[in-house]
Amino acid sequence: MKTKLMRLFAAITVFASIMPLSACLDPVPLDECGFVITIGIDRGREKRFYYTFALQRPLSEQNTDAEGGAIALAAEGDGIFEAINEMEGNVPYSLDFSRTNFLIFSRETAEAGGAEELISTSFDALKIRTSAVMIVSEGSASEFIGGMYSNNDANISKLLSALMLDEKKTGMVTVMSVSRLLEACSDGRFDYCAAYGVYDDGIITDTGQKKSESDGKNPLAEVEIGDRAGGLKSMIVGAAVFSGFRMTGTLTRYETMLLNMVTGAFKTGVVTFPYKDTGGTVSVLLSLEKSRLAVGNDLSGSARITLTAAVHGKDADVPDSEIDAWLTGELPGILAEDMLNVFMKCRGADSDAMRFGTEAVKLFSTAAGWNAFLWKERYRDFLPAFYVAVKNADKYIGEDMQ
Amino acid sequence: MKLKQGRIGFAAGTSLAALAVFSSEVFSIDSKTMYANGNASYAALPLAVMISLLILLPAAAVSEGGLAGLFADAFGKAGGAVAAAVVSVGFVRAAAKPMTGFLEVLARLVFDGVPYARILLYIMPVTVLIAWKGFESIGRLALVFSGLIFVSVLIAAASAAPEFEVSRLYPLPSVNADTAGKTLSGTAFALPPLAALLTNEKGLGGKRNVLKTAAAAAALSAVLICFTQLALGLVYPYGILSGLSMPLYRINFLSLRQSYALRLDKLFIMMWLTGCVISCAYLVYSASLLLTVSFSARDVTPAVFTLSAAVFCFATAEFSEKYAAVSFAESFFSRFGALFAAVPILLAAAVGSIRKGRRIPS
Amino acid sequence: MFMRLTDIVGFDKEKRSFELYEKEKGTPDPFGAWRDGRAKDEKEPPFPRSVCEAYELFSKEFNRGKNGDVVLRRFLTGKRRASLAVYMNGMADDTKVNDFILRPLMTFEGERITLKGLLENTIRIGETRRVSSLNEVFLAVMDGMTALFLDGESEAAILETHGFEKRAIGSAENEKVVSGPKESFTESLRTNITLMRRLIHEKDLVAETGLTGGGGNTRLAIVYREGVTNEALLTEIKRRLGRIRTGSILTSGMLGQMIEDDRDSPLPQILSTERPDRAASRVMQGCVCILVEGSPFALIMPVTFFSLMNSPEDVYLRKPLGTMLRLVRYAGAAASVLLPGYFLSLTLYHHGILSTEVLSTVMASRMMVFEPIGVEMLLLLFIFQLIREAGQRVPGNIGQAIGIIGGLVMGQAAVTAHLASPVVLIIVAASGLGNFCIPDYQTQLAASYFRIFAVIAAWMGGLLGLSAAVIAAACHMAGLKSFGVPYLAPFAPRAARKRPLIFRGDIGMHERPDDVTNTSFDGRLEEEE
Repeated sequence: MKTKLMRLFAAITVFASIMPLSACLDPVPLDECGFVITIGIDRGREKRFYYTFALQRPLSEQNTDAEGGAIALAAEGDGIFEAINEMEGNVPYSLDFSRTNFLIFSRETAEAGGAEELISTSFDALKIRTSAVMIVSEGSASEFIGGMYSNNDANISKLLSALMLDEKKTGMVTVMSVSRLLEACSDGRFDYCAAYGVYDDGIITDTGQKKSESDGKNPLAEVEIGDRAGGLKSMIVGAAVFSGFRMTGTLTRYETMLLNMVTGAFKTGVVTFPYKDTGGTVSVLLSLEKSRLAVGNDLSGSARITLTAAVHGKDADVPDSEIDAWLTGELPGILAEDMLNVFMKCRGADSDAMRFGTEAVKLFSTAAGWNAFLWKERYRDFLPAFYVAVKNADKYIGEDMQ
Repeated sequence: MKLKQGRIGFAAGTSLAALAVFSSEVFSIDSKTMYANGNASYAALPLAVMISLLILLPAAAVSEGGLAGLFADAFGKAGGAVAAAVVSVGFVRAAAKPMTGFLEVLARLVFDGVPYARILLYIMPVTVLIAWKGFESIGRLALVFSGLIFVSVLIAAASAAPEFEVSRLYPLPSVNADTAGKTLSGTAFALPPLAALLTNEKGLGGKRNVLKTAAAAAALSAVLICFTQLALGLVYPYGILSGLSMPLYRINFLSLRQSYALRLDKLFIMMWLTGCVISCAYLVYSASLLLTVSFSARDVTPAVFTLSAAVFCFATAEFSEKYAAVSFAESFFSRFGALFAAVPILLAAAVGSIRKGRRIPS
Repeated sequence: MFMRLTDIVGFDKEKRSFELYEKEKGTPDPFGAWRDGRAKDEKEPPFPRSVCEAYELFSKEFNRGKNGDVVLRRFLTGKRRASLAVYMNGMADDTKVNDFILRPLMTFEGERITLKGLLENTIRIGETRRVSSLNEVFLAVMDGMTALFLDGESEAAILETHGFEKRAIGSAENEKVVSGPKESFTESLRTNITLMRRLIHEKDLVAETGLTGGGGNTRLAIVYREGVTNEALLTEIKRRLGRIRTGSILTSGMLGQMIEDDRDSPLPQILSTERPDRAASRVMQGCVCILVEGSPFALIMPVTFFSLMNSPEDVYLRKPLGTMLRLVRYAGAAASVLLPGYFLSLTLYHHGILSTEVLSTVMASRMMVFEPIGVEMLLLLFIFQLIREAGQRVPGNIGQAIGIIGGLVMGQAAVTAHLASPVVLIIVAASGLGNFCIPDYQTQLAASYFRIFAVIAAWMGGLLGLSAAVIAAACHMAGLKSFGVPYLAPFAPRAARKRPLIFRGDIGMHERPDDVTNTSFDGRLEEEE
């Protein structure tokens, strides 16, 4: 019994002497954190960069009538840590970046390669997940973030995600995570493509309409014919192509859709084409069946894309049979030509946004061979052929309905 | 003699060895070296496991009384003790290396700037407790957790499937010196857990069971390692992998839709840490048993405590300011570590089989 | 000094453990060797040859001057032979003594008066025996029997006259089922054995009665199936019972602790049940059941963790329903133990796992709460335990009211007073409900106290601390045994089993005994051709 007690005492002593050495692992309670949802980076006035952080506001009854659901913090700094130190000086919580989902760069910053500094040094230290999505804003990033505020949904992260992923459904937006940027810059197999957004102050948002209504006015009183109304002031309008860490060009929505078709990221989308010279238009629902890129040993290349198309509407006084013939006959040529134009635009911006490099690497059996190949330089002379096949989906629908 | 061997069956033995091989291989990878010239890990590491099994088989076939008995038969009592000590170094290294990886990830990515030693003080007592409990408890614990751990690895890898791209595997591995070197370094971590089965021959119920268990564990772990490394290779190209410590932890970091299920990386890493702790305890216990029997000590407990302390010293050595003074040892081990475990076993198997052949009357 | 240190750490001391798979070496003293309840070397007084001697002896031994319930009745058998009837008033049935012993003997008109002859022809009592050991006589009288002495005889007759008051068979209060038998054990050993026999109509069912404790104060019965239950298990149980040396009165709870493998473990290694159907089902599976006089709980051994988590109702319901019940039960048990700690680690260390909506909600709910979340969690767990204990101690409807008042009113008041946040309250309540899903009371308590340990571990180390706590607990369970059967069997180690571990298998799968009890045969009836 005595031995057992001595044994117990020895165990407790050992345990008790270890525990004070370990102590807690520096917990930070939830209510003492500010969760940064979005980071905006602009060119600074006195320092190199101007950082804007959008924080998620705690949701409670008191906040439902407040404007939007985000708190914005902003400060200048030569690096992000300097800005964070500046900000934390007057906020009663510590900033937590584990929920950061969006990085918004102004065009100026993106063209100057500002992404490299933030991403290569800070991600691990700030514990930002590399699934964060990059957006380049035509104007300033802080303005773009401000345009995301909405009274209808206080969850700003959800708003941005919904915006991005809904846009993706149209096929006219490219949504890529930061990990893709790192991958692109690590061994040059392809180049990154970020979503490109603008801020339009003229848009009367849902919040504005609600305010008008609550003032007893017509919610659309200030909207003129031709103006945009509803939704948010910030929107995605295309893609920004990169060469390494620098932004080198932009693509329109249609061009982004074509880019997505070639890279295989496209699912479905509706495009309105002018029908020959009739002055009318045809709206076509396109779906991607397959996209195959090939690069040969002699640096020849090809892109073979197969699409299915269904006519959604026409504004031309033309019989359906003629449009069917146009779908499978002429439309492929139009698309192939447009894709080539997009390729040339990207190549002109020194960007392998169409990812031909990912096929070129398959020609090599060693990493040394690939590294010695210098794809980035050879890409400047690379000219692939684009082949597009379009299948008429209407025919199948028609048959089923019989 | 108080050896705490107990007895475990085929299922527990297979789970234990498979878990140990998997943890040792996957979590002890030195990314800079393994992914330096392409990603051959999904072929090299399973191959290393199979080679380790082939090294073990002849030793198990001729051994009488486990690995300690094999060494004693082949090299005599004193020589056997020396061989046991050399092999134990291999065991300890295989136990310590994955722990280093976990400490680094936990300190840098999971807990914000917490000292490594403080994190270790949560892991160390549990590891020592399990090793101290004995082989039976270790085996049953492995059986309890192995299913969960393997499923979590599969879920983590499978949930990254939308991000898979075959082009990331290129350039494909080829048979060359680089791949051979990676296979050899993998053997340094695959052989100790399998050899530890032979050390615990009594606990497994005989030579035959050791062979069966080793074969099953090697097959299971090889498949899992191949799957895991393949998934990693499909998510990250080798250029990115070479800069990541414990890339498996970040396998879901690419997924755009961050639902709850895809943010379980911290939960998964704790499960994998559990596997590492059990594997570490298993190797520590086995090394302790080997030394205890070889040096004819009466109790395995002192060796357990001593080797546990050694494991944790090795695990934290890399984070020490004075590491540069001993880094040559790690670079030595990373090149020749496989030999530490393999050479004594192969030699003992050869000598043992010769002696056995002589003993059989013609 | 060095020797003491090695003693303390326990170097080189092999811990003796019983393996059910191996035959025990040697046999213990036969169970009941100390039936008389005294040490063997204690001298027994000589058997009294005359009634006067017997009268004096019993007056002295039973302290007749002080003990008001000892009855020493002198009378004449057949109006000529001096006789003495000794019994305890209240333990023996007066009617039986008067009508079936005293009257026939007093009115006996036969010529020859012998004890044997009277037992065979005159005394109208079912269970009788003749003894020549005074210790046996003492025990029998204390047990409610009547001892009969005839002048000049060298033996006494022990006559079964039990007639003490006992509680009627009621319903199980702590193990309620919806569709199943409602009877429960009582404090009477005889009644409990009867309840078992009503359920198990097998002639190999043995109820071996005897005494245990240093003073032989505790009467118990070991119930098992001869030829089915493993001999080594029985031998080991009897050995452990024979080792008990205590002067106190043993209830089943105390007895169970005295014969368990690891008394320091919070987890029970013996199943304690008040349901005869549960006990009978386990005995049919090859387990051993101990019934203790004065205790309405039966002890079943060996047990495993999975058998503690199973409820008899699982097999009374249909397969899908039984399976759902079990899944809910296991999920509840897991939630009970891990949910508070997991939530705490997420809110303190690993915020990234929670979605933004949950983060915002939790942040908003904790806005005015002044104490740290760890303290809040522990406080609520403590209050929950208080309500639970108070509700159990207070009888009837008031106890239920306390549960409702405590739960609703205090919870709401705590939130209003900013002592607690709604989210944490929900977590603690869910954990508490999950705890009640565990069928075995001791396991429930062990789980409810382990979760406090898990909460502290999570508070200190987040998921790392919680993992360390879970691994340590699992390690303990992996090394625990219940009478030679590993606690986590048949999962770890694997044992042959027909039925699934967690799912409720087909009803036909429940015919065979568990492999872990290592029965002598599989207990299945031969199939008819």
